[in-house]
Amino acid sequence: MNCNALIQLRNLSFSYAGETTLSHIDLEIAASEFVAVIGPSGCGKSTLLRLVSGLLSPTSGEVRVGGEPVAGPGLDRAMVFQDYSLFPWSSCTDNLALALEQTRPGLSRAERRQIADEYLTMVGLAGCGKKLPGELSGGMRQRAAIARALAMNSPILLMDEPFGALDAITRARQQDMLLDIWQSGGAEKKTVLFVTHDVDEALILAGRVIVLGVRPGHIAADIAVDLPRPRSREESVNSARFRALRERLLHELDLAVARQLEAAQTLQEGGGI
Amino acid sequence: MIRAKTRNSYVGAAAVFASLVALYAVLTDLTRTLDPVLFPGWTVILPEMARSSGELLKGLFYSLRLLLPSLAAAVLSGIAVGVAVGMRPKVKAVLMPLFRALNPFPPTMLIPYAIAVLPSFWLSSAAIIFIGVFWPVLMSTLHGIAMLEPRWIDNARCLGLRGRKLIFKVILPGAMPQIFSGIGSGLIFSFILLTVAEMFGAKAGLGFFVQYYADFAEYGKVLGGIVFMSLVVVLIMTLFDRLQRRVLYWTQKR
Repeated sequence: MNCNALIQLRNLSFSYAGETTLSHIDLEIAASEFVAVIGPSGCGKSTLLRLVSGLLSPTSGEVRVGGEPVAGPGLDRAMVFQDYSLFPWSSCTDNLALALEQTRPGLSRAERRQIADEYLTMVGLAGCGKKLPGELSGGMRQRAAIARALAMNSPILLMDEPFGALDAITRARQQDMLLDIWQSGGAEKKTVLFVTHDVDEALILAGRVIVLGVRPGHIAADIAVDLPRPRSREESVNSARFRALRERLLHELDLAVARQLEAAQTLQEGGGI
Repeated sequence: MIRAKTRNSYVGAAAVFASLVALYAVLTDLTRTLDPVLFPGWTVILPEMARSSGELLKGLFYSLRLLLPSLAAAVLSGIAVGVAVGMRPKVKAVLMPLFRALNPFPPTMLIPYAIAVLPSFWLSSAAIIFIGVFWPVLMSTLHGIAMLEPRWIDNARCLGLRGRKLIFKVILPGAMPQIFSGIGSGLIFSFILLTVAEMFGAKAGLGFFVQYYADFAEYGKVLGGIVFMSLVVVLIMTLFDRLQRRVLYWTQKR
């Protein structure tokens, strides 16, 4: 077992209301890895992320971050949710400033606001600081959420289908932006755990894709995305390697979905009159 | 856009108000359909109001001196108790049946006790108003906290928000729509309780003014007092609406 892994999941299981969502998950993620978690709906991929974030506690097994067992949420793990990372009653700047207040308590109010605006500028939201999240489009809101996560300067970034609610073009732009930011991170490159249901998104962004199977959720495949870095969307998508990986991922997902349908069928028959 | 809409609604309200005033003028001054002793026309009421303006302003001053501190104390303590209880599910489970039993109890029933137990008229009236406003604010705060979206709590936990910061940055803003509706009901109830309280022993105040002249059958002054009081209530409610719109601006932008 690799002791240098930043995030370690050991024999992790999670049940809720008598139903096992995740069963015997073993996973190690090294520092600066970009890992995508993909699977059909109901496979427990969001649960997995919430276990790493500490919002949920495992039924058995453990999550370790930096060698320490996770007992709850921590500022070393910044979370980006699908569409609600910001408080709707605070302006974007205030939302970022609040996160900064938590991670860097030494800063003055003016410094916090200045840094908040710098991060908003970095994600292309210069001048939008005074707006409420509800006054922005879905894509802009997600950028602000990413800006907040980056401003927190946490070594780990947990992203729960952050672009899932966006239209295709906006989603592609956001992916490019995230890729740019992550690839230019240099030595402090963040460790990212990215939950998605989009195969292309996983391949464009991640260096490794975990496929989760269903009933109960388990790791069905662990695939290295050996596309060269730094990447660009166009080069990646047009390469033969991308297409091969895509085929393989879709095949794995097909298997998982087929098993899910089979299980549902059995359940229905078993429960029939 | 919103401003234009607000202005239109003001114009509409003013038109309805003006029609009612005109209708009353038709029924009294113009046609004398209503009993002229009980329902004197505007030609009587308005001069009476002008003559009593000093008394009315003094009454307003006394009424506000009773109303505002009681209101403020009830709102602040209702929110404080609501937050303290609402954030502790176990405590809430124990206290909720008690709250449900006490909440609908009419504060006016407590008037004899308030007078007997408390040392001054001001204090006993203030206590009655306090109780009337405290319950709706407390219950709506509890409701607002129970209705907080779980994702806001997740978000707060991820940011490590605790204690005062959690309360002032997440719990209170998130529960504010419900809290405001509770304050609104409390405010309306407080006007009713104010006049009731002023009728049982006050030496001044708008409720006292109306009661006092009713005893002398001076209905021009009685109606003048009621009209003046209504104007004050409308003014206070308008200010409250403005405050609410400002604080809850974000709810329109979601």
